[in-house]
Amino acid sequence: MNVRLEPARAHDRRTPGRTGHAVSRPVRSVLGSHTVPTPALSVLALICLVMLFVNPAFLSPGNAGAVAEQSAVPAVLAVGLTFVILMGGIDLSLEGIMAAASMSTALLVANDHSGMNLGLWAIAVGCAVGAVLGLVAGTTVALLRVPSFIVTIGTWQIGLGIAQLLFGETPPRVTDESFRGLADSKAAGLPGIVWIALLVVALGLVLQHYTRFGRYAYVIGGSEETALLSGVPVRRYRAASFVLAGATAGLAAVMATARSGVGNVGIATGLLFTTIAGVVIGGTFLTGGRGGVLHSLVGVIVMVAIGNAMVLAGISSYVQQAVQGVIVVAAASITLWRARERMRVIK
Amino acid sequence: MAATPRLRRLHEAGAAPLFVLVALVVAVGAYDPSFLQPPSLASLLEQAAPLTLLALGQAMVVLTGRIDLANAALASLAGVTLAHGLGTWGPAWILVVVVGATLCGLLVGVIHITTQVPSFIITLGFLGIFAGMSLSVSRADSILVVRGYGSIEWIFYRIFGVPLSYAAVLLVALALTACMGAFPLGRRIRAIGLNERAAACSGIRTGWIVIAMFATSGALAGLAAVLQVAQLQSAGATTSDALLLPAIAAVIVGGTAISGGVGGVGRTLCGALVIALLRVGLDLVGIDAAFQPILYGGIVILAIAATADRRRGTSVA
Repeated sequence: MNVRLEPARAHDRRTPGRTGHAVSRPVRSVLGSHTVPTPALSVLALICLVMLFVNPAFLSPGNAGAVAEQSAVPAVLAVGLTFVILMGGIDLSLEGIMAAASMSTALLVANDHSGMNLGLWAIAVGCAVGAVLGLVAGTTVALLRVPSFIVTIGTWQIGLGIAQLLFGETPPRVTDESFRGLADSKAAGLPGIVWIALLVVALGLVLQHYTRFGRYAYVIGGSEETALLSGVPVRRYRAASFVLAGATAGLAAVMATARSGVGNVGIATGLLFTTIAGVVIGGTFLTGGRGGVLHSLVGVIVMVAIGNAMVLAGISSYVQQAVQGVIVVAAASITLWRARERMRVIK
Repeated sequence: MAATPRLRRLHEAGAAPLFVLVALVVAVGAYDPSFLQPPSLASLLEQAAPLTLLALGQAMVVLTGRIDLANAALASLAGVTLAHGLGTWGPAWILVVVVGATLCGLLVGVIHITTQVPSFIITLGFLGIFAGMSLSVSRADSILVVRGYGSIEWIFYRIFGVPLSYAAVLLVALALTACMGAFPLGRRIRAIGLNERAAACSGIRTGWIVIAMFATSGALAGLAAVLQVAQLQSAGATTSDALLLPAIAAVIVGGTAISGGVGGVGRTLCGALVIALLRVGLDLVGIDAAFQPILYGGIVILAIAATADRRRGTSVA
């Protein structure tokens, strides 16, 4: 099947004019195309430039390492979420899934609450918990055809409730050293979770470029009707995207638990915003069909860098959530501004 | 869904939530007869009051086919702002806060309509903005209302056993019903929910009506905040946040279709009472509070699966 990878182009009035110049100016064609997240990269450069004057410590190698470490968990989340958003859906359940996965992982490795000691197998269980919750959302969205944002609010609360049930009186403390070593031990100057995140991003890129799942994600997001008429099993792929998002949320919870050393219901507080804002600012369209894993990675790094820069600039942490909210609204508005039309129905 | 036309008509008239409500009252009453005493019924209504206001606001937005994920956070923000300024500015501050909440809702609506970005993402962004603002106002601590509490305390008096707070909620509901029934507005809102393009083609100013519904949702969130501050005599940065899902659940259990166009005020009242009653019932039976979010999540998914209109439209993202 001959599939166009960027069906959303139809909305973009700028693209046809540009392609004429593209042959003569290869650099510009790469930057102007949608394969490279140019806007997000320029925002990142802008932040670096501003921080050069406000607080140069931002650009020190130590702080760059800190940004990388802080980006690891949301980057893993963003890889899964990207495929859901590419298909035109949304997954709001990340925080609930992470709560449930964090609690179950912490209780399954050696800890001071339960007698379990599964060792590193608990990682697989953590991912599985996420995948099962994702499957619940995915099958509901795909088979019963109800909007994903409302279904995933439901699974968010279900995950949160499961985590609260597992919580008991005090947070379970992880005593398994090899598990904690995932976060603590360093290789080539970077902590383990950063390497895990890079691996997940690489796998996400392979999935996006070289598999049927990745290609169909663009088709479904570009036009679900076209995909259906072309014989793409839309429901199955849509459900699969939620399972993938759930599994990556489970893995992110494992990483966050290894980092903090305790199972925690509130382990993901605020991460939903960082991740969604990152995916949007990276240039992935919330209406589906355009963007990608690399875009989301850059976007997430931008969000973490903004948070980090605000701390270094001495801005109150309370304001940060509001700023992230503003970024979600602004980034979504700017990326979708071009697609506005009279009489267009957007709910 | 209904087997016969008559059942179908009953269902479309909104009888299902009423039936569920009566069944729940009977069930809880059978489990614990003291629940049916007037004082405990009155306290149930008082507990349900803020939730009902939020659910009514949400229902107005959902009727146009949108969703407002920010209204509970806006209620929290209004609550801390009210508690913060009530002592200094006196009763006039209540009006200022409610008007302010209305303007916040208006702003959300205007941005949604002008940028043409899906409402859930705009309101999700504003959820973060409102939450951050209430943290800044309250400095992440709960604010106790000492001076000026007298100006809102009366809302939780009972006259002959009838709680004033719920009477006020009923008054709001009545006003909404009147607006929907007596003016063309109600028809227009439903038209937008059922087929926005057709509504626009027949001369309805769809954008303005959607904006008005978001403003209504903001105003009701402000009123809900007043009730909560009056009830608790304090306000925290996240006091009302937990009401977001119950309010959405109330709207959907009430039989308002998430796709818009079908639903109303009366059935949302029933839906909110069902949710409030479930909470009381679970406490009575002695079920762990941790089950409550699981239950709400399950109810939302099941109710939406049962009420979603799958005949029209293919967009299910």
